[in-house]
Amino acid sequence: MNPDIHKLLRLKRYEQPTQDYFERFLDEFQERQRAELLRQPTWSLLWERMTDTLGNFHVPRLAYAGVAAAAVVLSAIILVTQDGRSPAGPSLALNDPRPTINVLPPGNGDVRLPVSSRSEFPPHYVLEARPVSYESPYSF
Amino acid sequence: MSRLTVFSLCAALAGAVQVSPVGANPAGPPQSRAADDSEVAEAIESAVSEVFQATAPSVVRVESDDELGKVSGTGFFADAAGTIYTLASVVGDGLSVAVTRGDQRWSAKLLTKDPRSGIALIKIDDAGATPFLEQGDFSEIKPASPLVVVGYPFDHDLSPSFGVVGGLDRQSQGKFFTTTHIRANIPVQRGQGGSPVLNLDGEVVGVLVSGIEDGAGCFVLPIRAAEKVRDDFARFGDVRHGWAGVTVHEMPVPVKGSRMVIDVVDPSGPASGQFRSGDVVLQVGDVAIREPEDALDASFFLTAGDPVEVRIARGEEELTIPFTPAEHPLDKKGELQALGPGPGSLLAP
Repeated sequence: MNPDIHKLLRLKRYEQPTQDYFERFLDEFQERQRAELLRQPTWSLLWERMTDTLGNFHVPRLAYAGVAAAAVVLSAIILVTQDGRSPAGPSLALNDPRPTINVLPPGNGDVRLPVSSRSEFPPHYVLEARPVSYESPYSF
Repeated sequence: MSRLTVFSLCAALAGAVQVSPVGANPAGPPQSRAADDSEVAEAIESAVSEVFQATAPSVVRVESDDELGKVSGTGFFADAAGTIYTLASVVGDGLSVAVTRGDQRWSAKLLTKDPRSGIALIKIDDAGATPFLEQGDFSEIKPASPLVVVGYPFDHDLSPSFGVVGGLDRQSQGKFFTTTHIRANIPVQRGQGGSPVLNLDGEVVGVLVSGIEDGAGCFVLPIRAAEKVRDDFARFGDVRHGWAGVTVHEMPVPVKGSRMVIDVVDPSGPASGQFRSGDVVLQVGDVAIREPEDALDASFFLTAGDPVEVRIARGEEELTIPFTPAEHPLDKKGELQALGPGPGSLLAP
């Protein structure tokens, strides 16, 4: 064997990573794996997970297209039906019991609730978390 | 509070904390110990009740409407003309402020707000001569001094709280206050912001500005600091904090008792040409300087346009220099209020 290589191998024999390296190895590996994962767009991640999950059921790939098309058609039917209904239909936004906010004309610069509605809310009782304070006292 | 009550309270407290003789049972005989505790409790109850009864007519609930809804806090009359101390955070934009006391209700107008101390002054006009609180001596406040807070917690009636002074602080957890505050070990609740903090003579010694640890204690702005705001308003129609335009740093070794040395003098500031880098500041007005944090107390009580004497050490010399602080440059532009609390927002231009 080449004496230089022999010397190098002898040196390497004593080159041991510290204990800290082994303790952190798994953490670092997982951090990097996660960082790599987060670089992908969300839709790509979702698609990947969905295909993985469905792949476990051994469904032919063409069947996905059929299911997706059926879902789109169903959604469209539901949306069209909802659109044609009267305001009395079930709608969270329309039936929201919260009072509306009256925005006054520009120039007043004030956004206020109607007095009758505001009186329904309990007041905010004041007790600050700390006195007015600053970072540095070294300038005045 | 009558002298008799003060005497009985002191006597009872002294009796409660007296040192037992060596070898004696430190708890004392159970019956006499219980009698002592009972006397202490009665004395405290009597003292707090007396302060509460005497000051209650001067304490009011302050309510305002801002864009987020109704805000409620406490305030108290500072004079017979209906001027009320409360917190800037209670009055909000000041467009709709009301004051209530029992069944009485007045609308109030905002006189001024001081973002530097958090104090606001409001006034009611149609209440006739109002009862107001006498002011106590801040120099008598020290750790363990008993204090009473009288305020409106939540939507409850006027309530007293009792405790003692924990200390006099200029900072908490790395954040510096605008001036020395009283840290009081008195439990407080929301709604009591702006309450008067009273000594056992019923004199107001400060304004409750914040809680500590969810109301387990509180910070109190000394009444002399609130009075600085009221005086400025009476003289100028607004608060006029003085500005020197100097930056200081701390020396490792004190010179003539002070570690505060001038680092930079702003060439556009009023101190330019009068002070130099390296001057050691010994006293500003009535405030003796020992460390840079003393600048907080020194600067808070400066008023723009009011001359003040500053004593410095320059080399071997000791000089007294008359100096007139100016208005803070950001204050002139009206930007000071917009800054609010933040890194060096008021103290550093």
